[in-house]
Amino acid sequence: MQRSVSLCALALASLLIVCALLSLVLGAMNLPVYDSLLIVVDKLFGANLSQLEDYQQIVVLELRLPRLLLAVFVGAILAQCGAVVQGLFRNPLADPGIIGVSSGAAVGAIVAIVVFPAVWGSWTIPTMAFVGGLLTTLLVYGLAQSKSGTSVLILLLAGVAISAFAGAAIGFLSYFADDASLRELNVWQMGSLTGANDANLWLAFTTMVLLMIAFQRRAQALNALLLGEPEARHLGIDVEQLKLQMIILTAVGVGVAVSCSGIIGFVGLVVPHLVRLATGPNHHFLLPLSALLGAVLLMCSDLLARLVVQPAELPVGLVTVLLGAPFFLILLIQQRKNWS
Amino acid sequence: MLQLTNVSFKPQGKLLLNQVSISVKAGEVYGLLGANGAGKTTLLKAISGDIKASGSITLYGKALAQWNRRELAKHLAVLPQSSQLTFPFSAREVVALGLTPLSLSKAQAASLIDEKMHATDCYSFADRAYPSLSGGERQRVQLARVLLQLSQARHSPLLLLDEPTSAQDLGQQHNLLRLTQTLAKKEGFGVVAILHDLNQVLRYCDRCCLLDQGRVSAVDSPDKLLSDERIQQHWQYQPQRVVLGNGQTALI
Repeated sequence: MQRSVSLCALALASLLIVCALLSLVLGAMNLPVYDSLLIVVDKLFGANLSQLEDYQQIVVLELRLPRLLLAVFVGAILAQCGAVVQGLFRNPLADPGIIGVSSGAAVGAIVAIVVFPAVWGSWTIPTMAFVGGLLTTLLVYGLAQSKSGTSVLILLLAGVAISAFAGAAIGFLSYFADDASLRELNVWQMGSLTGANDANLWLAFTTMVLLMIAFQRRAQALNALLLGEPEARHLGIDVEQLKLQMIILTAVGVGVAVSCSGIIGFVGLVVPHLVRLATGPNHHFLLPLSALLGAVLLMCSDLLARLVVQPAELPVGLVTVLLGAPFFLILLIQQRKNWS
Repeated sequence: MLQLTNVSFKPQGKLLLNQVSISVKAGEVYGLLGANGAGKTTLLKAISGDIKASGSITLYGKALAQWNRRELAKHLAVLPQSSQLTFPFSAREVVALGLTPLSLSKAQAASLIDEKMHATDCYSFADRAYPSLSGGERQRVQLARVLLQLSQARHSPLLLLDEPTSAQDLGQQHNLLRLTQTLAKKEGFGVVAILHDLNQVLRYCDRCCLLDQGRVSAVDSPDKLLSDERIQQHWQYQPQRVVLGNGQTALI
């Protein structure tokens, strides 16, 4: 087991580096590998080694590097949140979207785009997305409270209902949107990493690190929770506190991810699933490996999004769904026997 | 070690436990008996804290609610009747979950896991996926997990068993009960077990409590408690008794 975990980690880390390199040099303008790397080194250490032209430097440092970093951070956040939600609900088909976080965040952002576009400048959309996600999660969580604790079934059903309601609200708002907002709204709903800037990079990076630490600290508790809630309680875990912590952290994670890059589907669903196939469901390994694979997957998807219809580009959320959905179906068909 | 005083539980106006007062000593196997619906499982849940019953339940003189969660988990463990796992942990990983409340070095943990898996006869399938095991094998894995959980207790621990033999074949039923009996006698465990097979009660329990409609009907040693009249009264069954070669009585 330990060996397969180390192998996986090594393979994923190598893949991350290769993808990062490809993301730097490939695109509408292809750049030399060595110099593209050097310019990053120059930037980090204030050296002057790279031979790139000024406009090429701008492409690497101001377009591609922030974007690939945002892909890494958002991918890692989404995949970890997916792993936690699946563990929390003891359901491999759960996804942060299912408890209403994503749709709540979407409503928040769309209200910002359509109703009051620039109250807090460029922070309006991220803030509203985050607030929307958190409020929906708290609402769904509140609905699922009963005397005997949190009912997972009600949580899931309330999530479905709230998501449907959010969908209708988005449709309603789109109806009143002008053409410019409609376009922005569309791109945003399909997910895009084009908005990478210093502010949201720091936000996503900090969130990713905090989530990794917080989730890893509760890995053993999450493992115990897989036995069932009473069993976890008998093992000395405060199950209600754990559930509340995990749900709020997930809402924060998904809210931040959505606010930085719009709705990116399937990363949270597919990635933990794949990691479990390779190394089993132990959260001690599942969480960090999911973060790695999530980063790789989103970076590759973004690269594809940039390359397929260049010089134009596809929304990255479209690519993750196009890659993720068939893949997930194949997995389902393969595992159908085990689940029936 | 365990003391219940006037424990009642009345959800939605229905009295499921009615003024139950019992005590369990360290080193004894204590059977909970009664017909279906008598309140055995509810009582076990009240002791394990799954339901909030009124009255007082103390372990070593301290109310259960006053115990620190982790400390309590080191002293009180529950073997569930059945346990499903959606995700394919290996049997060894399931046992290792018993480490949750403990603080052990990796080497200590590994050797304890092996020890408990040997004790419960599940070492041979340690690396198999838990969902692929039979019901009886799963329960032994769970027992190993629970024993691991109790391995750092400062006082004699309390083990609650909810129909521990329900999924086992005949040989394993006796292995499991013999093991719990040994734990009680050699290591001073207090064991509270819901059992349906009265012959197992006669053979392995030191004392037992007969429940009827949520109230304690009698507490005594099994051979005194299980009179023909009581069996007839509580289970509507007229048993026949056979005296065995070793002088013990078996019920048919």
